[in-house]
Formats: sequence, structure tokens, C-alpha cells
Amino acid sequence: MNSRSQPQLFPLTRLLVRLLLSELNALLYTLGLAAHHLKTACLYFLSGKLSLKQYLEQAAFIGVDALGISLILTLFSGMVIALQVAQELTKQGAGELVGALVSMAILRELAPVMTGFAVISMVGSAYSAELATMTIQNQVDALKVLHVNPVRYLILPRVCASMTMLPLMTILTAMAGIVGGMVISYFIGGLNYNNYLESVWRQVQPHDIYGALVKAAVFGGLIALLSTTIGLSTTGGSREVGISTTRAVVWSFIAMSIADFVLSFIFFSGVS
Amino acid sequence: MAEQPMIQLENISKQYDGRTIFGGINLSIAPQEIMAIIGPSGCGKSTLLRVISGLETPETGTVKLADNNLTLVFQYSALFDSLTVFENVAFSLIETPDINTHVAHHNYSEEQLRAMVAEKLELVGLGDIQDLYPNQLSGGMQKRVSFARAIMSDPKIILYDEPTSGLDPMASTMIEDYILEVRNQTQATSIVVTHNLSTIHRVAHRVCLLYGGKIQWMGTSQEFFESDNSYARQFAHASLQGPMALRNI
Repeated sequence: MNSRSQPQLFPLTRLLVRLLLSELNALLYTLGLAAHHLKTACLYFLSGKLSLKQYLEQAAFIGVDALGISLILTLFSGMVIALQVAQELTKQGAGELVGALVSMAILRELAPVMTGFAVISMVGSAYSAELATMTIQNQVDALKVLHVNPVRYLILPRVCASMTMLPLMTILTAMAGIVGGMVISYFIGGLNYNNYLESVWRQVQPHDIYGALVKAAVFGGLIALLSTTIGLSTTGGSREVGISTTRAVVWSFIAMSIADFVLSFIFFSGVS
Repeated sequence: MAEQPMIQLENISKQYDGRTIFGGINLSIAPQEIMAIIGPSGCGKSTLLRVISGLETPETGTVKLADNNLTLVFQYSALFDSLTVFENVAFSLIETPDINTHVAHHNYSEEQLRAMVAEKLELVGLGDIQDLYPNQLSGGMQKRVSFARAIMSDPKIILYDEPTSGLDPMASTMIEDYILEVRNQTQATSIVVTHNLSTIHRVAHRVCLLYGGKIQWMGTSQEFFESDNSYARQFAHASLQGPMALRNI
């Protein structure tokens, strides 16, 4: 056959397609595995097998690692929104809406999402790298030999800690974002603090808070579940640990964005 | 042997990505026996150990164990690096569920656990290192801590995956002594995967030589060093001439 001598058409396309198919294959495998891990973790949780000590260790780890950066991210997000709308709305005589607008954006979207981003980058990546290293160093096999289920020991406390810490962190970050907006509204838009806070108070409804908390809990569960599953399914060496960590971060971002849309649709699409 | 075997492998085969690692493996190991599994690198010795321990599922065949209280000492120790030596060694008592009740043994006080850990560490020649982390220990010490962790639950079957690899000859001799000591103390049946002729000579009762996916030779350790079998002779003399091809090693 003379196929060797013929120039290949679109050689890069073929490579790209192969890479995409391989990534899709890995994605489907990970999703299946994550669903299996979730089911196993739920069964352990319902039978009271969550170790309080490990849960508290993980909760402390998430708080210490990610709270600072999520506070900074949301504080500045609130300031940016206020910066963009305060002057304009004041000029239009609608200054009393600045607080409402900032608080709605912060509570419904930015606080849970920015907290999620912080947790993905600081905690999800650490989970994935830690568990991938444990896997390639046979530490996970050692757990199995000692009759300890890795899902109970490694995944359950991380998922529970993440699902409970993210809502708590979201409350704090939302407060930071609203305060950031208030400070900027005062200096740029000339709005006094009382008017701003009154506007916030008028706008914020209980379902905004519930929605934000549910979003944060779902994001926390998704981030921890995906990161730990990707870590535990790592094979190979140090290069694969790096690939798993990157994959955990990218897929957590994507999963969180999809969940954000779905939850926003459920909680907020018909509200106004 | 009239005694019921502690470990019995019947027609075990294992494949990876369509490639047969080994096939038709039949092996029977008596209680308290120490069996050495030897063979060139990549012949499937560690995989066979993983199949026996239940970490891998064989494509065909069955593994019959007379007692499920089994442990595996990993080649690179596999200590939990975020836990202290104390937490590593006591791990099976703190976290492992009881085989019957499925509840972790939480009824020990920390003082009791520390005393039990100290006893096991003493058995492998280690002193007061309970509060150190694995990365603060030498390779030989890590290996001995992994021995202590393995014997904490008084296993009836102990599998050793290349216990002397990466150690100097004196440390290797010490590890061999501990394998014998642990066997004497626990009366456990042991399988030792090794390349080390000294380990075969000093520790093993019987030797099983694996190559090309099959058991090529089996006999006592004394027979191994005196055998005319071409595989056993090549391995015992570390020779490049023989049926085991260098390209496959």
C-alpha cells in the first residue's frame, strides 16, 4: 500500500479528536465512578460511619485554606458591582437600588460561586493531589488490605466537610461582598450607609438565602466528590498526579458551572 | 502433606490489557510455612501476591484461604504519610472494622494502644519513635514500621512484597531475621516475593520460580541451590546463560 507516501490530511485534527475522545472516555469513567462512590458514601453516612474526628479535621482544613481567599474574591466582586452601578443609579435618582442590586448579585450568584472557586483552587486540587499520591504509593491498597473502605475513610469525611463548610463560608463571604459594595457606594456614589443597608434589607428574601446555601452545599459536594474520585482513580507516576490535579480543577469548574445554572433556574428563574 | 493448606491457588490466571501475566497457577501452602516466590522482574510475582491478597481479581481460578486474617507488607512500605508512626501501627485497631460486628475497635484507651504499639515496635527492633512521621525515618525503619503495622492484628497469613529491596546487606539480614521472628511469634503462614538469594537461603522453607506466566520450578530452598533444573540453576547462579531470556528480564 502506498498510504505511507500520501500526505495525511488534517493530522492535527486527528490528534485533537483522539485527545477529545480520550478525555471524554475519562470523563464518563469518572462520572460513573463518582456516582458509585456517592452511593457508597451515602450508605456509610446513613449507617453512622462518619468519623467525627476526620470530619472536623477536613472542615478545619477547608476553612483555614479557602476562607481567606473566598472573602477577598467576594469582597472585591461586591466592590466592582457597586463601582459600576452606584454612580449611574445615583445620577438617575435610583440610588436606593444600589444595595438591592449588589446584595442580589452577591447572594444569589457571586458568594456561592466565588467561594466554590476558592475551594476548587485551594482544596479540590489538594484533595486530588493527596489522594492520587496515596494511590500511586500503595497507601490506598494498604487501606484495603487493612479492611478499611477508602470511600468511608477518604471520601465521606471530605464530602461532608465540604458540603457543610461551603454554606457557612458563603454566609461570611456574602457579608463581605455586601460590605464591600457599601463602602464603594459611599465613596463613589455618595450613598450613606443607612440607605444602602435599608435597600439591602428590603431586597433580600429568605429564598435568596436558602438558594445561596443550597447552591454552596451542592458545589461543595460536587467539588469534593469529583476531586477525590479523580485522585483515587489515578494510575502511573508523578506526571499522572499532575494530570489528575489539573483534571480535578477543570472538571470541578465545569460541574459547578452546570450546577449553578440548574440551581439558579430552579430557585430564581420565576421569582421576579 | 496431609494437613489442610492455609493458602490454595487453583488454576489462577491474570491478564492486563489483553496480555497474559500468568496462567494456570496451582499452588498450595501449608500452615506456618514460608514460601518464597522468585523470578525475574516483570514475571508477575507481585501481581500474584495482589491476587492472593484480594487487591486484584483473577481472570480464572480460585484463591482459597483457610483464614481471612491476612496482611500484605508492601515493597515501599506504603505507610500513611500524614499519620504518625503510632497512628500507622495502631491503624488496624482504630479503623479496621471487626470481621464479625463490622464495628471499629474503639474500646482501647490511648494508653493501651500506645503500649500495644510499643510492644510491636519492640518486636521489630524499634524504640520510642511513636510520635515521628514516616518521612522522618530511614527506608529500613519505614519497612520495619510497616511490619509492625502488618502484625498488629495478629494475622494468620502475611504476604511480603520484596521486603529487602533497596536495603543494604546488613539491613536485609535484619529484615530477614524479623520475618523469622514474626513467624515464630504469630505462627503465621508467609509468602515472600523476593529476588534476594540470601532471603531464599535464610528464610524460605520452599521456593516457587515463576517465569513466562508459569511456575517453572518448585522445591525446598536447599533443593533450589542444588537443583539441576535449568531455570533454578540460572537464577541461583545469577547467570545470563539459560532459558530465561535477558530481553524479558
